[in-house]
Amino acid sequence: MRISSSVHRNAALTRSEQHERDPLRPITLSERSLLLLALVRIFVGWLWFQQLFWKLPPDFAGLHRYVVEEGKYTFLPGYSFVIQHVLLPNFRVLGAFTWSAELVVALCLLFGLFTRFGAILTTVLAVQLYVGLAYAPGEWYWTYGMLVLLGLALAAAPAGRRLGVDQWLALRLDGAGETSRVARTLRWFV
Amino acid sequence: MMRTIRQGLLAGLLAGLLTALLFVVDYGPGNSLHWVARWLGLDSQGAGKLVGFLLILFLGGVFGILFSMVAGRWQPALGRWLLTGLVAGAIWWVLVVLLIGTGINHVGLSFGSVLFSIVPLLVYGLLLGSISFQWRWQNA
Repeated sequence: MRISSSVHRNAALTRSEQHERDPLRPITLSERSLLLLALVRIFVGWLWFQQLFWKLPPDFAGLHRYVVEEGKYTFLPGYSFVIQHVLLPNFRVLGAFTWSAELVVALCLLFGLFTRFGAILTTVLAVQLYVGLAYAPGEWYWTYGMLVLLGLALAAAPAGRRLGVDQWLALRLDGAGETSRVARTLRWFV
Repeated sequence: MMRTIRQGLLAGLLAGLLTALLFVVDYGPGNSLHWVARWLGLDSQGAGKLVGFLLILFLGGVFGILFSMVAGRWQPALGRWLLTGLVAGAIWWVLVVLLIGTGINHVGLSFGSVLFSIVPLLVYGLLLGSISFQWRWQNA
């Protein structure tokens, strides 16, 4: 009996040791890391929020100059044609779409509401800016590169789980996810 | 009760500090704080930024105390606390920006300025609710 329990203990110890030495074991973020991540998220959200005010509706006037520049300096073959023949002739529609998308990004990140969705949208918008403006005169190509990387970093980590609505949403969606596919899909964006 | 109020004050000050820092980050830095000072008719060329910054801290503390007096009586439930925090931010906007700022001090309120004031104050409310909940939960 004594020998048997000793064998079990040794086996358990071995499993524990193996787990500790596993280089791919899951990482748990500390409370401080989560709070720091939340602060980064809020300030990145504020970055996008501030950019709404130089291109306000209904005319989105501040945006026009940058779209023209994108048409001149994009490095992506064919994108200049799309800008000049599709986007600029429909500038109001483009402005409304861009402004609304940036508002959604700002609200998602500031409030930690479906943060991963906001971060993915950030990445898409930033990639578009990189393609269009990174090599325009007076621009530093890393400005837009960093925006892309910030978006990706926030999409990779659960940045809305502290100081954000996602902290509450995650609990609700975890429960609903057992029966609802929609909840499971939404859960991915939290 | 005193402990709850003290925690509300600290949570309000912390949420207010983070909100004030958002207003600091601009081309000024801190030009937006002049506009905050104007809500209470306290703006000036020399001291407007500092007054705006301190005003957010002060009002943050006040609303933190009010929040703690309401939410402190409840069991810690995250959704309810976050919602109450958001309501506190909305009340700040209605009382200070809309009624005092626009109604008494005639600060112009365009679509842009509504957006630029209501969103950070709602963020303040969310931070207040979240920080208060976290402290309460950890001490429960």
